[in-house]
Amino acid sequence: MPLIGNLAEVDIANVIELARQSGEPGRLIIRGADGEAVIFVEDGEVVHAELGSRKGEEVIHEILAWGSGEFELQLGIPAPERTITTGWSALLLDGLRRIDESAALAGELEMPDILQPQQDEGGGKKMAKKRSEVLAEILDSLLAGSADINGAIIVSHDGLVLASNLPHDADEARLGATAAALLGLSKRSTPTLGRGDFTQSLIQGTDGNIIITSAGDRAVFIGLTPKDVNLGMVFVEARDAAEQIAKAMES
Amino acid sequence: MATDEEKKENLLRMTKLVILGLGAGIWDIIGDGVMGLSRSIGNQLLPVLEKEMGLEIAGETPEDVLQEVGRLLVDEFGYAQDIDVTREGDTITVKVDRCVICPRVVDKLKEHGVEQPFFLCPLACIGGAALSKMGAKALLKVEREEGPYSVIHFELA
Repeated sequence: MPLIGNLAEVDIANVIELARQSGEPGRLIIRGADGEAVIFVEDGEVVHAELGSRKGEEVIHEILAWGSGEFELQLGIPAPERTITTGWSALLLDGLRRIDESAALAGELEMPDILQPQQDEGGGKKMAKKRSEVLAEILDSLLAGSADINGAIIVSHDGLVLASNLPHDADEARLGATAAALLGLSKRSTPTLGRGDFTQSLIQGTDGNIIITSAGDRAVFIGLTPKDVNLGMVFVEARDAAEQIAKAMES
Repeated sequence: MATDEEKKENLLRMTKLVILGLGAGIWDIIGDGVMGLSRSIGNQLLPVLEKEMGLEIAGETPEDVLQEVGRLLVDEFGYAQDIDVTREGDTITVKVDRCVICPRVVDKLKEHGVEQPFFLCPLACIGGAALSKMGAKALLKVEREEGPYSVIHFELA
């Protein structure tokens, strides 16, 4: 029996992940505005993809950017050919990197609505929201839309917790100081070890992950996830959130 | 053998060197993250002002709290010659006249390459902790001006 769903509800990378984890060969049909793509999975890896006359990795790169459409996963169907040899993790990261780059080049990283001046019914400007309110809304929006990030904090470089949305109680003062120290340590480590400027760090625990991302020169974004999540997707979501936070801090 | 007076002076000097060593060492390891320690330091100092010197936070405005913290540091500790608190929008500015910590600690830390030596500024630390306690979130920025003044900005978020 096929698994059918909508990409507005489930991210495409997570659908592919689901197909991989089934352990069976399978065919995933994705119907989007740009056509119908077919992906084949065998032995836990994506081995073939086609979209119209195109085949291979370029198809995966394209459909990762699809934000709407429907999917249908049919198990037990072997691939007719093999056009993809790259492992899924590398394929996903490369695809997401391309999306990031093309969006940045096209200037499509739009400021979220909550950062735009608010209009009242008469067309006049409402009083601007407090920065802490804007930051809290960024976190709420992120957690509502993310399948993997289940807690997040925004901390200023001087250790002040500006906004938090955590799955458990935490001592904010201690959390802020720890976050600022972790960021400082990370920023110190990358050039010291010849890895350039700091962008992001990952701390893995037995029960989940902590992703620390610099959000401009005044704040840090910290995302929490359970273990066994799609880290490539989490990294992209964290970077997007960090960009929004940096803009909010500048406004 | 040192006299009791000399022992006191030596002990004070050793304490100062330990603070300088601690500040420079932490800076070497975590860089800008040192500013995250300010509120922890403030949380240690704030109860002293509240329990022993009558500082009251509840029901006051942020600028009044900072004014009172500054007054106690000047009158009870000899921290500076004077302070002046002003508020413009969401930014409260405390101008400190002839801070005694700056030449003894801040400037020395700068000489050791510490680019953010103000994480040890008592007024910034206690002020930040006091504002947090009253539920106000404030970003800290401390500057050393030319001449005898240093300026602490508390930017309400």
